[in-house]
Amino acid sequence: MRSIYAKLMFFSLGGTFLLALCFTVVVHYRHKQNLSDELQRRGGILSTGIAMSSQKAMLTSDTSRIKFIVDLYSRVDPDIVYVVIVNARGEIVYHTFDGGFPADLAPLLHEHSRKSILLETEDGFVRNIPTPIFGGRAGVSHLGLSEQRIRAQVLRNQAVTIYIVLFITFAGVAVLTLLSRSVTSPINEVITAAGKFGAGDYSMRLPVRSNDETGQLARAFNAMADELQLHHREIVQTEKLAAIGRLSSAVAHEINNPLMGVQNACRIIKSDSGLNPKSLEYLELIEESLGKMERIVRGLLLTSRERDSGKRDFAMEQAAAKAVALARHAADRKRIAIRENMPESGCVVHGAPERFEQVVLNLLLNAVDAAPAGSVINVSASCGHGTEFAILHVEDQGPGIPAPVLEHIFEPFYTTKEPGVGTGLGLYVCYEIVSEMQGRIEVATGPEQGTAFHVYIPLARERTPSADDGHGHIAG
Amino acid sequence: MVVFAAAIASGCVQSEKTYQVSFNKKNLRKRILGPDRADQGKNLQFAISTMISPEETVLYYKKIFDYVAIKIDRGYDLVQKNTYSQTNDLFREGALDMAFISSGPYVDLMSTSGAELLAVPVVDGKVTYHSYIIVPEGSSARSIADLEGGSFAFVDPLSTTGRYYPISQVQALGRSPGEFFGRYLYSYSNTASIGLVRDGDVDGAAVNSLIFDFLAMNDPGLKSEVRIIGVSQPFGNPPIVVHASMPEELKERLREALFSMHKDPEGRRVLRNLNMQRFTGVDDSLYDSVRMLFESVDSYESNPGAGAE
Ligand SMILES: Nc1ncnc2c1ncn2[C@@H]1O[C@H](COP(=O)(O)OP(=O)(O)OP(=O)(O)O)[C@@H](O)[C@H]1O
Ligand SMILES: [Mg+2]
Repeated sequence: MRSIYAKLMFFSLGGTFLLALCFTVVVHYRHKQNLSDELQRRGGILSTGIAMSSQKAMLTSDTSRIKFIVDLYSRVDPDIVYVVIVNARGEIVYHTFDGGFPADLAPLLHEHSRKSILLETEDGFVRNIPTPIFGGRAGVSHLGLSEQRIRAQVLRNQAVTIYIVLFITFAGVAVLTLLSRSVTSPINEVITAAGKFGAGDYSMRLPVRSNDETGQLARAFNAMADELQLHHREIVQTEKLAAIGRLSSAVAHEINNPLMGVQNACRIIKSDSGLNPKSLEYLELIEESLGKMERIVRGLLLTSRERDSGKRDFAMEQAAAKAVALARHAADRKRIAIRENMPESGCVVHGAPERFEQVVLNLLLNAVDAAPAGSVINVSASCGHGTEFAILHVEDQGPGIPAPVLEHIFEPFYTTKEPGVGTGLGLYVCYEIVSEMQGRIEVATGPEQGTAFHVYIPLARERTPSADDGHGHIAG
Repeated sequence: MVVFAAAIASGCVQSEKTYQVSFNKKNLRKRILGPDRADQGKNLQFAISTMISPEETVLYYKKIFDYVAIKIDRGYDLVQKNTYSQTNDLFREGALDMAFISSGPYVDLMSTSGAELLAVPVVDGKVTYHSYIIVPEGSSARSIADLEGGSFAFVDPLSTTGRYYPISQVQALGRSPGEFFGRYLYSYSNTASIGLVRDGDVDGAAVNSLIFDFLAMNDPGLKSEVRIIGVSQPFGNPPIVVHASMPEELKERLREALFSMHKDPEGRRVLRNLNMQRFTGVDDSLYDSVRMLFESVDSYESNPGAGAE
């Protein structure tokens, strides 16, 4: 038995069946006993009635009166098969058989004139109930009562009980099927869902149909799936970004040296005074383009090359304030106000402060790009009690980032801006720098609420020499 | 478990022994249930006329016949009939060998055929008895004359004490029973008549004094519920008669058995239980008082009013 359903079925059906069987047997036995007792009682009453009413007629040998009494009585009950009246000498005074007395019956009645016996005849079972007349002094009255009717009744009753048992059993099957379905089908659903989930369908969720254990199971499964899906997405994102990062910095590194050579060559050519104005003009265009290429390459190299340079503890809000000062020029042009809200005490983090400045600047520039003219950009930092992170918030009142865009914003070269306006490196750089500082970036965005970037950077831990003192105390 | 249950079930259904009987194999001639007896048909036929109910007769008077049958070493069949005349008819037909009958039937029987008086019981030292006119204890009647318009129970049309005597008393008042009594009936046994009076179902009855005294002896309550308001002249006790055609030798043996009954402890016990002392032989003239009564009543009935004038 492999399934819960089969086990449930086997044990409960077996139990039901056995119970029903016991029930049938007991009911059958009781019923038969009752009917048989009833027949005996009825026969006894009839036989006694015949014996008592024929008493005087027997003593006075009044055969016509005996015939009258017996004929009267044999009409009283349809189960009466025969009545035989025997006198004290054992002579048959009167009997109700047509055309002679059954030869087999005579010796039986002679032998069993006190106790009732069961006869097996062509007409079925007949109970012979003898009753002495006037204490036996006037003879014996024998009454034959058919058991066919009560036997038929017993059989009918037995059939009814069997139907009841079958009904109970089938009803049991139905109820159990429904019951076990309600238990096993959610389990089966979970099994299927888990299979699909495992095969890569991370959007697989279970319907929650009830509040009972099966509903809880579905809910727990869904919570787990949510968690896994999120995790999976993060891992994929991280992997993707890491791969792209490695590729782009390798490319940047290869381009960097030749680029510098070309720039040098350009500068040397430019210092030659014998150039006609047209050539000079083209040379300047070349230089401009080279400058653009250099900026991109430097941006990419920034993420790998200068990784370990100048790391120290610094106050996050001060770095942020510097970036705000740099961004204010661009903001002013669009008549956008930048509102700062920095904490009094410093939120000390570990890393290169210039690089963190770059993060805040990139976020601010994006906000300025997105925000409508005349709106406000909020910049704030916090590092509340009991937290492990210093958090920097950059919030604008722009149109928000639609979901399909949101998926890609941290990828390098992803931009929704006009070619030449944006390179798509801004947020990529932010991501790289923050990751390097063991931090993370969260985005909350919506068409109504604008966009808020939250940058979490672990607080730098101050080392205290207290451990040594404590040690000394214990040693002493 | 299933096997166990099935075993119980089947055990319950077929636990009783059954006997195979065919209702189709019929036997036309056999009338005896058990094995045929060799002496079948040789039994003497003894009758007792129902002075008391057939059941009480079996319990009491039959003991005399049982005793006698053993003494003469013969089987017998007890014959009882519902009325005195039925017993008499059987006797006349020769179907009876011996009968213990009341005085009225005796007189009736002797008038037509050859019955022979064999013995008479002696009760309280006498061979005669009386008729008692009885009423319920609560009745105000002082004599049969007070029962005018009431209901009355006779025993049997042939009963001396139970019919002829009370009718003679009514006739003495110049009346016939039909007009004197509001209603009358035949109970066909003295005990039934006594029961009717005792229960207040009739206003009066006339009964055999021997039987009344015998019942009163066994049931002391009777005398507080039933009052005797009249006692007749003496009549000869109910006798035992035999058929005239019976062999003399058998008659003699029967007579001997009866007459010596009181000398035998077993016989004495039977007699004592019936309040009798012994059996004795008497002359038929003992019943002349009965004959006179019958004649006077019958002649009055055939010529009403003659006696009164
Ligand atoms: N505050 C913001 N509001 C709306 N969209 C934003 C916001 N910040 C970034 N984005 C979206 O993210 C994209 C990527 O930004 P990212 O800074 O990486 O590149 P860029 O701004 O397009 O170019 P670059 O910063 O290299 O000049 C943007 O093109 C823009 O669509
Ligand atoms: Mg940007």
